[in-house]
Amino acid sequence: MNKILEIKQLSFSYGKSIVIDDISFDIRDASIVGILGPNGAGKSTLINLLSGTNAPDAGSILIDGDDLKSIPYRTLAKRVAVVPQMSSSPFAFTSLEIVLMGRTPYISPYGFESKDDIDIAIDAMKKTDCYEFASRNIDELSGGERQRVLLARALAQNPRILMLDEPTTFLDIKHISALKNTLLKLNHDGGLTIICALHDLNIASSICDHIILLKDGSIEAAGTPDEVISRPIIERVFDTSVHIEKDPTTGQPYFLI
Amino acid sequence: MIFAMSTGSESINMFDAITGHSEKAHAILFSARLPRVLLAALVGMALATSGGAFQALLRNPLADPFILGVSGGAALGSVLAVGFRLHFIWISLLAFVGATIAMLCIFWIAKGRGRFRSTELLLTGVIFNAFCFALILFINAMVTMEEAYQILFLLIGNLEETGLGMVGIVAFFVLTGFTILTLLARRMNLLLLSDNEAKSLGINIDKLRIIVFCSASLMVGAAVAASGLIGFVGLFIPHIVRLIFGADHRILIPASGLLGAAFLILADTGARTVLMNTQYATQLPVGVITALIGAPLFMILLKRRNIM
Repeated sequence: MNKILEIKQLSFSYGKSIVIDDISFDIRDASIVGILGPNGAGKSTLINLLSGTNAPDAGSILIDGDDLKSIPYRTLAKRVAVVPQMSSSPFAFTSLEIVLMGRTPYISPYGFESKDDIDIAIDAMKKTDCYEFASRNIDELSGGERQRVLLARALAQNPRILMLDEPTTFLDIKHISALKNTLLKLNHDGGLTIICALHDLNIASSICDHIILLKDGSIEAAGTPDEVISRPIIERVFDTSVHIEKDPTTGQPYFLI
Repeated sequence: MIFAMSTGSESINMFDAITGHSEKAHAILFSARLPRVLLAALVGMALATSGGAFQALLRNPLADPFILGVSGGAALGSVLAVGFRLHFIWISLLAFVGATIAMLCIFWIAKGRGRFRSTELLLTGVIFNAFCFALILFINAMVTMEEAYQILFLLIGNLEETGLGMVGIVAFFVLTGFTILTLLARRMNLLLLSDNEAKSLGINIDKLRIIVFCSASLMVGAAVAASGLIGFVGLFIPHIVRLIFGADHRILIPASGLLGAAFLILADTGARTVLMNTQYATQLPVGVITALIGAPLFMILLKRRNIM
């Protein structure tokens, strides 16, 4: 399998506190990867580094063999799209306007969107099931609806890699289930590589091909859900006792506190 | 605009003036009214556009060059130039420098994480204005009566004493800033998102911010140097445009410029004519009119919106 991302000896610190400490791993093309770990483990920071929003202090990130540092913002935005945890704007844009912002890297800096751009945006909204509120203002939407709009914006960038930062934080179980299905479908139909910072082990277990478990900025464990979600590893990383079972229908591990 | 030119403390017949039938009307039109109306348009455009730009730059709907203290900084710069008896170009440039310093102060003090909070912005503006006014009064105490009068008029905000030469200089600065901001309008939409989002959508946000910042300050500098402190135009014009056309800067920026120009022409026409038939027989500074309209609107905005 092809490696779409190669991360080598990556380090990053805020001031004196080291957030990411010399980590290396590869991500396979068209896989779904979960980044897990306790609060403050460095999950969001790692997403910021992988998406190029923050520059690492040391180490390198290769996308399809190209060094992330040498890729211009615009080019990078065509390969990597990020769904932020939340998004707010002091002035209300409509959902469609927000999704059209995803076309930014494809439009000339001074130009307007073409018919194609609008079609792509509408198509993305249909895929994430939010076209019905295309003309509504983004700040009138609920957390779940807003997130579908942000996901559509990321898809409008037509990326190879989609990154999500704690996408389930503001969602109820119905929306979590819908999001899971959407992500699985995007991965299966479009071959999209998905990297997801998650705090819920059970969600990770049910959608991820590969899990990277972080603690204090280092990788504690990495592998398939079966390999990583085991009682000794989870108890060690999260510092609490857990109970782990197998889902009788899918065979995936799930845990109980 | 034609209405504004034909109205004034001396009513003139447009046709006579243009064809030169009436010497007096011709003189009033071309040496007094035309430059004044043009200047009003430019200043209105500068204030409204830069107001819209500052609102995007600081991600805050209360931003306005006057409230933020940017105008205060510009006024200090131009007062300094008046004190040293410099040419109008230098007044504009020093006003630009003053506006830039004010903005840097605002960035430095009020920058929290992500969005600029209203309380900090407003306080910074109030304090910066107070500081600038103290310095202005200090300078005021050291100059001749005539210069002191000029400084006073600068502070109130008025469009008198206009020549076509000065209009040309202001036009150069204002139209340059306006053109740049209009060209950047699509990317300015992304300024309203978080920095990380803008970056991941392929925008070099730091570079964009500096260009927007300089263009807006340039416009404010020229406007303040030419007309003094005219408040609130930069605040409420963009809001009115947003109510009508939505938040997209591609429409917001040019429409604010045009509406600002139209508004200030009207306000100035009002200022010129409202007291003309009374016993006072004088002209009001236009800053009085904009503040009388703008301050209540500002309070309504502050009350109605969830802006903190």
